[in-house]
Amino acid sequence: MTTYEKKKPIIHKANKSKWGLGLAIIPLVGYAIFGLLPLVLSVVISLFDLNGYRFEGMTFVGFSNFSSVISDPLFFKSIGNTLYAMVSIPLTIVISLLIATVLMNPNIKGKGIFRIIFFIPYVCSVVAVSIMWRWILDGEYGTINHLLSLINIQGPDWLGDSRSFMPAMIVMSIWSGLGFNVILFSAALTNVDHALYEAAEIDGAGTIRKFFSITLPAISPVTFYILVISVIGGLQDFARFQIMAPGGGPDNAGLTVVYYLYNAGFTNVITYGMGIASAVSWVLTIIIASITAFNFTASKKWVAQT
Amino acid sequence: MKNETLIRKSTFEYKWRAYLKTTISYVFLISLSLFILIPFFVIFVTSFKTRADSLAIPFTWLPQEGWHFEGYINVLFADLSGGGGGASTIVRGFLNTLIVVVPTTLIGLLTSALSAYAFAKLKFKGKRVGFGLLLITMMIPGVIMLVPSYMIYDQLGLVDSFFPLMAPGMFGAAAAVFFLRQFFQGIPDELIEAATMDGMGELGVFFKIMLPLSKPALIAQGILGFIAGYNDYFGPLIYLHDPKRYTLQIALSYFEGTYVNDWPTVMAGAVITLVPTIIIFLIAQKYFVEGITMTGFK
Repeated sequence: MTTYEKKKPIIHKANKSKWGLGLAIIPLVGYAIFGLLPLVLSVVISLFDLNGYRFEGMTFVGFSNFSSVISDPLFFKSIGNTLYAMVSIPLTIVISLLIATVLMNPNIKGKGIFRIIFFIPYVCSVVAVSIMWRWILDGEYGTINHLLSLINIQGPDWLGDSRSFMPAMIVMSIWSGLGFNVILFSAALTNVDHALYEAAEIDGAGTIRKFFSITLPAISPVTFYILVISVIGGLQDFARFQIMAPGGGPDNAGLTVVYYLYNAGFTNVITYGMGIASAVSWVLTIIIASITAFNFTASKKWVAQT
Repeated sequence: MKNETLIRKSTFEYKWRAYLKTTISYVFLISLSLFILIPFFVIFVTSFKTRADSLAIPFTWLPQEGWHFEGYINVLFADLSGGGGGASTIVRGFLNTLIVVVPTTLIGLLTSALSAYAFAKLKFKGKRVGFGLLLITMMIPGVIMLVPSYMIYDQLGLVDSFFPLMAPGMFGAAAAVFFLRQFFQGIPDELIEAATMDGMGELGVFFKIMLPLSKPALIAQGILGFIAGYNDYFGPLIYLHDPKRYTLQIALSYFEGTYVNDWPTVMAGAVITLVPTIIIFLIAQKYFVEGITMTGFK
């Protein structure tokens, strides 16, 4: 007993801060080196005209990088394309919520297998998936046009025509994104309080009424989470466009904002330059921040507060 | 009597409606499953076709000239991207990917766990501020670091090396810290107190108590980290120029750009690239579900 009392304050002291701060901040130290330093530099670079990738001989140009980005119609086109591609977000949310709801039906067998199937695309590499879809969407040899021809429809050259390009990319995006949402929605649906449904049934509410009045509000925090991360991810969509739309695609229909940035900084650095690329990354960050802020403000209207 | 028929009628109607509902549900789930699976089936079949067969119109669901392995032989043995001294591009890419991803994932997992342990169980000054800062880092989009990072690495002569792909991840990831912290908080303080009383230090507690008790969480994060690294495209695309250093994904995209007309070879490359992650997922699927739902909530 006495030894215990003697030891206790020492333990407490040892518990306080010997290693704590040092261990805790390892990721922050990493971020300071590989995140913060570039972040600060990125502000500087966006205000200068640079020679390729060299800092030597850079000249201060003020906001002219920003003004040339904002006055480039191609940049606005890339914003339009990026937003167009994001049509897939509400579609993916609705379909995955439907899947998760159907999977709650106790009469359905093989739920685990369905979940596995929907989730597989999530673990697949974007390069392999892009190759896969480029082949399936091919105008001549593709599976989709073959299936359409069976019902006498002549499908377009999906990725070769600026009108059909984005719809095809939206379908591909839904294909990739369902599984992740299904997992989150399934977890959310199992957490809904069953007493609420029973109470509603006593009041005579039908399936649809219950879904809209109980289920949707109850899972709204998860819907919100999915919406926010999908929007942030969607605004940075790049890899599949770079692979499936070499050079920007037909009439630049596949040029997203990050693709524009990649061209400015890496494929066409001579014409654009790193200053422009930095300016683009800041404009994109401002867009991401504003849309996310808007999402959070709007969420007060429809997301259940916990 | 009247009442009874009414009840019977309504139970019949109820049963019939439930049956209809189940049938519609199955139709819905099965058609969406086909939507997911058919693309995989198509690349699988195409990878076994001959070149001529793959370009036949209309598309066929099975190889018409028998099952051929030329695509796989090409991919596994040929130095398609050149500069490899005859070694297979895809095998070299696979090895490069492992060299980049395995140490980064393991060390990153350890540093994330150490940080999560400190935030979950240790008392120190600046804990709240530190955690807040970690939260903020998660919200800053990665693209903004792209240009200056590339320039810094270029200045240091580190472009076209694995360094830019490995070093940042070794300091841990904020998302993993959140997830593991959540898990560590669930480990009872009494266990730690008892161990401390036996003279175990903070690091001893971490290695002998926290880590062994957190195996599922560590596996979940490790797998998610490995798959993300394995599938990474943007980083290697920018930093690796020499075909000798191509990771698997870059090697595959190189194929796709160069062997446009040799679809069986390209598809064989895609299949080989996809198989490892799909197998890992099938074996460890419960960890995926845990990893995703636990980082997603709370």
